[in-house]
This record gives sequence, structure tokens and C-alpha cells, in this order.
Amino acid sequence: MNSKVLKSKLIFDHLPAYASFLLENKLSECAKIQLTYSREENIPLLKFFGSYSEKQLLDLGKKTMSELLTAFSCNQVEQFIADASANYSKNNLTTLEREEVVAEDITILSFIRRKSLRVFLSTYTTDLRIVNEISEEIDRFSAANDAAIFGAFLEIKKEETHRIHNELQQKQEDLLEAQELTEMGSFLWDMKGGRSSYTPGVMQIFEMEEVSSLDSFMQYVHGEDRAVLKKAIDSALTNDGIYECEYRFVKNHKEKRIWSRGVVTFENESPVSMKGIVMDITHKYLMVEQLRQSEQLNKQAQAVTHIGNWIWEMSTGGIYWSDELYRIYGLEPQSEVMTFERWFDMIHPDDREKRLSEIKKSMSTLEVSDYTMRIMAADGNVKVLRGKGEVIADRSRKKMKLVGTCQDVTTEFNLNKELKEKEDYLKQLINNAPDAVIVVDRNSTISLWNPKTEEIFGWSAEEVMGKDLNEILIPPQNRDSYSKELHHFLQTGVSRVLNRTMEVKMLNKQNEEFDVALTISQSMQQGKILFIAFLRDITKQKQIKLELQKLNASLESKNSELERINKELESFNYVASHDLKEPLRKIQIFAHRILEKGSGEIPHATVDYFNKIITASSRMQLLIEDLLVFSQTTAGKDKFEQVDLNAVLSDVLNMLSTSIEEKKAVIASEVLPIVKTIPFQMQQLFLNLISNAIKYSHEGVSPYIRIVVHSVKGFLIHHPMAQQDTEYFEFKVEDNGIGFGEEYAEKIFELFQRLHNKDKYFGTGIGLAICKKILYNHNGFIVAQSEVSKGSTFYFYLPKEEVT
Amino acid sequence: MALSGKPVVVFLADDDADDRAMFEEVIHEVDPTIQLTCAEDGKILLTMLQSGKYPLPQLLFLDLNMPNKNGKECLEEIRNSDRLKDIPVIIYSTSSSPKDIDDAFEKGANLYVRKPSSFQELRFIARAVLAMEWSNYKPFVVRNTFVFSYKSV
Repeated sequence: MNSKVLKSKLIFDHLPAYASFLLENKLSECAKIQLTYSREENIPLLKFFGSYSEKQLLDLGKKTMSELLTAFSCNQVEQFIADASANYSKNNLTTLEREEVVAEDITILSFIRRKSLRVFLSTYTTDLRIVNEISEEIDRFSAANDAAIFGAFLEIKKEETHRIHNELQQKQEDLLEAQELTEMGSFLWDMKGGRSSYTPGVMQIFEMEEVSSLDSFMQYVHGEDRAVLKKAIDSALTNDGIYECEYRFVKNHKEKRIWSRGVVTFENESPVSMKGIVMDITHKYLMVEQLRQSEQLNKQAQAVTHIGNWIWEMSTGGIYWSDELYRIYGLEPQSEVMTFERWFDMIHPDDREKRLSEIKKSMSTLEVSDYTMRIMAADGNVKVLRGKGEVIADRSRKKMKLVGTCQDVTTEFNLNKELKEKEDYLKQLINNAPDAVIVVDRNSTISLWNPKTEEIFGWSAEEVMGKDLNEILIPPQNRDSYSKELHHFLQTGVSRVLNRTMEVKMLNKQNEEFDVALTISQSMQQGKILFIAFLRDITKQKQIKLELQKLNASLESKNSELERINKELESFNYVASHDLKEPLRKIQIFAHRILEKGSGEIPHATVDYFNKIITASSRMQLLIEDLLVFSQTTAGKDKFEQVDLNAVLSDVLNMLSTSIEEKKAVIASEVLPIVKTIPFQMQQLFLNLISNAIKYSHEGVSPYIRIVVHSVKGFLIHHPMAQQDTEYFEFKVEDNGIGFGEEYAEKIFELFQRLHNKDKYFGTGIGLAICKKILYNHNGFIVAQSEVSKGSTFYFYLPKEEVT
Repeated sequence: MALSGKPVVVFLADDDADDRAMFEEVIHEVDPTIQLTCAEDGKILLTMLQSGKYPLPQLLFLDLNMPNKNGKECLEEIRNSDRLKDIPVIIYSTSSSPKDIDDAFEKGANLYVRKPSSFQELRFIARAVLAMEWSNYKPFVVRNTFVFSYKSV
């Protein structure tokens, strides 16, 4: 309805004609005057056309004026207004955005347009009625146009407000979200009104519904931090207005670390409000703390592992060393500025050149290879260091630096060296072992084969390494039991063959079986079972053993034969002792009896014959007795005892007392030792020697016999029986008798050897042979020294420790 | 019957008839009061001793080498018998082997006398031995006076 009325009102009676007049005659002038008015009125939108030239401005003015006037002339104002407002609403304006249009632009433009249209009325007509009509029609257009444009303007403003509101809301939401994400909140503390506001983030951080007062808030602040917080707030309120504080906040058994910052607003130099933010920095703080700790840990790790690190700025020559690296070099951490010269000086002289060339190489290849060098630490120790590093360089290689780590591996190095030496030693031992040594694993795969094994089996190490021992060395008929035994041990840990020496058959390269003495022991290396076999070719030993066994058997039979003969001899002795002696004794006793009973009746010659019978038979008796003694002088039957030779000597002297008295013999002896011997034989020995010495004396001269004893080492005695390592008692029995020729010194010890006529020196020629035999039984020996008529000396030797 | 400690009953065990005859002769010559009983071997001797039909001897002369039972065996049995163990035993043998002497000593003989090769010596021995104090005999013999030596008497 309204538009209909308006429509009818916008059909003009005079304006179309006037517009046509202007179009035809005054368009340029009209545009020009309109621009002039615009400038006079200083319409705001003019500033958007600053880049336009005067002509461009006039052309634009003519164009818009022409459109308006055309609309007037065709009486299509309504359409014009609709188009114009639509253009504006749709933001189809020239050079400016619709939002840049302000209310003044609309009112001033309307005013200028009316004024410009009216200027040329006087030239069109002088009819005042028509002038008034046209003015009215122009005003009506202006009113309608202004209403439409303002309508659009308002609509635009409304839209813009709405948009801005939305944007604001969005921003607010973004802010809150951001605050929430960063665990941050903002607050406004109104000190005058007592009204304070917070973003939800604040309440979330503090885990509170509201903050009623500063004091109620303070009670949750960590006791140690309350004073700090209070001071920060007071300082902000009284001084510069800037508040910043970090404090701990404890609620619900949780400790949070809070960072807060704010700005105070003052009115008349007194604070009215404070705006600010709070932030939960617990995580960040913890992260920093962790970082700090990990740095600490790194330092400790360096100290523990003796790894130090270094940086060498090649451009400046600056060298950075970590604390541990200083310690490695025997220096106080950071006690001096490290320089290349100082460092180079500490390198072991023998390693300096090598290290230098390595560094040079690194600089050209931009790679640092691992290095090992010796240093002479400040504490005087030679250390071994191992290092890694890398080159960091820019493209121009102007700013090049080397960085790296360095580890003290002295202990490890020495250990390795020692280990290597031990290994070498072991290798040497195995390679030069007199036995074949083979090592196999649980699958009986060969992993060691020493030179002696090559010699025995004919296979070289290269040929058998990694192969199955069972297939190479074990005769086919034994392979099954070999596998079973190995399997059994691996299953149960029990073996019948380990750690004992066995005699087995094995195969050589020529596939010949031969006898081997085998000892297997088990060992572990790096958690794996190993078997170590020691082998010896015993083919020869076996042959020898067999021969020995045969020999032994024949010896045994000979032995029993000997024993049988000995027994026969013994029984012969017995027969001799009684059955031969008895008749002799009878001959003697009856010969005596005849002489006794028939004394005086028997002729002299017969008595003489009887005496010869008695003498002969008694010599025979003596001979038989001596022979018996000789044959009974054996080592076998009688037991060795500790015999006091002094007692033996005194017995013997007792036995010889008659002849000693008769010949006025003197016997002088040193104290004799106690020697482990056969008692009877010792008695026999002394008896024979002393009785000989008394017997073979110069007529009319008292026999003087001296017995001397001392210790002598075996190697000092020149006698084939003397044992080098044995210590002997040397007995010396010396007399002043008739002696004998040196040529008889050995002969006198032979059986039945007599040097003198039996009528002069009564004897059987057996005594010294008995002596020789006695000493032989005692692992000793006897020698004689003499000169005719100058006495003789008998030396006999008894081992100090007689082994029975 | 002897008034003092002199032996009255003396035994001799010897397989040799000549020796027995000469021994009887010499004993009779030295002391006619002595009752001498002779056994022809060791077995006969022990039978006689154990039979109880004969008075136990105050002195026994024992040959070593005898058939059936030798002197050492006899000595052993006598020393092991409660009834006979205190009889003084004098070995009377041809053997001069140290082993025989030693065995006899070990087995508890009281004196070792070698058979002499003349009647004169035998007489001498008989006198000396019979003159020894046998009644208070104790089974204790010193080794170095075990072998009787007529030279030392």
C-alpha cells in the first residue's frame, strides 16, 4: 500500500523535461558544480578517490549525473532508487566498500545533489510556479532516495554489527579455548566495586568456584611463597603497576606451579583495577626440572663411564671440554682454558703424528673416524683413550667444528692386552703340545685342530674345520655308539667317558685304524658347550706293552724256576749241615776216644796218624760250616733292622776273645753308627774282617786293628757300585798284619781264593767272599788296599738310608 | 735223691744212638745219682712226658734235628703246655747256624750247646751244665750267654 502511494508520488510532471534539458545542455557543468560542492562540503567519501585525476573525477560525476538525469527524463525514478540502494547493499560501489560509507556521506550527497540540480533552474525557466514544482519534485526524489539509501545503510550497519558481534563472540571463545589449552586464564580484579571477573580457565587452574577474597585465596598458596606473592602484588599496586609472580598453589593435595602477570589501572594515582593472566606452569616446570636432572645425569654418566666430550671450533680455535674430559687428562674440571697446543702436548709422543694426520684427514673428508691414542695425563699416568667424533661444517667450510666424545679405556685396553697375551700363550701351548688337541662343539663339529693332530691323522686343519668329527675320525662300527654317548651326555649331563683316559680305535686320512689314548674334557665358552679332546698315538706303546707282557710272563716263569732251585738249594744246605757234619764229628769224636782210652798202648806213628785224621776232618767241618754260611747269606729272607754296630762289634770281640788274648791283639774303634741292616750278616762281616786281621798278623807282633767310620757322598767314591746320589757310611778296618800284593786286591774276595799255605794260616778261602756277598745284599760294596808286609786296609760302604 | 738244687731226673731226646751212648757214659761218670731217661725222637719224648708214667725232668737235653718231631717243635709244645712249660730246656745240636740258635732262643730254650767233637769236651760240658743252678730256674735268659761256650768256662 505504502509503496503504491510512494510510487504514484514518484511520477513527476516537470522533472523529466528539466532533466532532459540538463542532459542536453548542462551535463558537464552540472557534474563540475557537483564536484565543487562536494569539496566545499568536504564529503568524507571523497578521500577514497584520492588517486583519481580531475578529469576522471569529472567523468565519474558526469556518468552518475547522466544516469540520474536519464532516470528523471524517463520518469523511472523508482527503478533508479531501487537499483542504487541494491547496488549499495550488494556492495557494487565504485572504489569503496559499502562498510566504508558513513551516514554523513548519504546526507551530504543528498544535499549536494539537490543543490546542483537547482542551480540551473533559473536558466531553464523563469516561471516561479514551475520552479517550485521542480524543486518539490526534486525534494520528493531526494526524500525517497535518502529513505531507501538510509534503509540500506541501516541494514548494512545492522549486518555489520551482527557480524562484529559474531566475530567478537568467536574471538572470546577462541581466547577461552586457547587459555584452556595453555592452562591459562585471565582475570579482572575490580578494587573499587569489589566486582571481579575471571575466565573459566582461572577457576579451573585454582580448582575453585569463586574467589571471595584475597585472603581466602592466599591460604592455598604454598607457605613458603605467600610472602613473595604478597610483596609482588603490593609492589604493583604502589609502584609501577606491573605485577609478576611465580608461586606454588596447593589444593586437593596437589601442588601446582603458577605464573601470573598483570597490569594495574590507576585513577587519580590510586589503583582501581588489575587485569592479568594466570598460567599453570607445573608441567613446564617439571619438564625444565627433568631437563636439568637429565643434564645432571649426563654429567654423572660421563663421570661413571669416563666419557668426556669436546667441541673444537676450527674458525676460532676455541676448545670446549666437559668436566669429565678434564678429569680424564688428570686436570681439575675447567681449571684452565684448553688450547690445541696444550692438548697436543699431553698426547703421548709416539701417537702425536698419527693423531695429527687423523685430524687433517677429518678436515678434508669431513668425517672423523674412531681413534685410539695414548696420553700422558697431568697426574703422570699413561692412559689409553678411545674417541668418536664428527665434523660440523657449513657449505663454505668456513665455520667448521669438530665435536666428539672420548673415553678412558686404559683398564679395558690393558685387560685386552693381557687377554691377548694369554690367548697367544694358550695358542702357543696348543700348537706345540706333544699331544693332538681337538675341540668340537655339541654337534661334534671340529673347531680346533693343532699341528700334532695333523701329524697323527694326516688331515690338515683346513680340511677338517667345520666338519663332523664322527664322520672323519671314528671307525664306522663305532659311530653309532659315539653319537649315542654324546646325545646321552647332552641330555643328562652324565658321561662315562669324560675326564678319563681311554684307549680307542680311530681312523687316519688313509682310512687305517690305529690305537689312540683319548681324554675328553668338557668346557663352556660363551655359554656354549665345548669338548676338548687330547689324543696320543699309542700304536707303538701298545706293541711295547704287548712285548713287555710276554717278557714279564717269561720272567715270571723263570722266577718260579729260580724259587724252585733256591728251595732245592736250601734243602741241600740242610742236608749238608747235618748229614755231612754228623759223620765228620763222629770221626773226630771216636778218633779222640781211641787216643784217650788207649793212651800209652798205641805206637807213636799211629797216634800221629790219628791226629792227622782229626785235623783233616775238623778242617772239612770248618769248610762245610763256612760254605753253609756263604750260601745262607742272602738278602731275601732276613729282615732289615736298626742295628747298633757298636753292640755287634762287642759281640764279635767277645766271640774272638780267646784268640785276642792269645795274640795280645788291640782293637780300637770309633763310635759306630746305627744302620738299618741284617743283624747276623753284620756280625758275620765284622767277625770275618777282625778274625782275618788277627789271623794274618806278623809273628811276634801284636795285631793292631783300627776301625774308623765317616760319611761320604756317592759321587766321591770311585767304585762301579757307588750310587751318585746316595750317601754312604765308609768303614775302614785297618791292620798291621802281613798284607798282600796289590794285584790280589780284587781276587781275595773270590770264593776259595787263598793266598797262603793252609798249614801256616788255617782258612777256607770263603770268609771274604762272604763279606762281599753281605755288602752286596746291603747295596754296599767292599774294597781292599794293601802292600806285602805293610798291613791291609778294608773299606766297606753301607748306604745311610737302606731301602728294603 | 739230690739234697741240693742239683738235678736228679734228666731227659735226653736224640735220634743218634752213638750220641745217646756217649751222653749216658759221661753223665754216669759225672754224677751216678742222676736218673737219665732217653727218647729216640721228639714224638717219643712228648709221649713220655705227657703220659705221666715218668717223673718230670729237672733238665731236658733236646737235639734239634730228629725224625718225626724235631727239637723246635718239641720246644714249642713244651712251652705251650701248662704242665711242662717250666722244664729247663738245653738245646744239644750239631748245628752252629745262627738261624737255629736264634730260633731256639725265640722259642724259649734256656741254653744252646753245640755237640762237641771230642769226649773230653763232652765231659767238660756235662760238668759245667750240671753244676748250674737249675732248681731256681726262671724262664729268663740273657741273649749273650745263651750259647754255651766251653772256652769261657
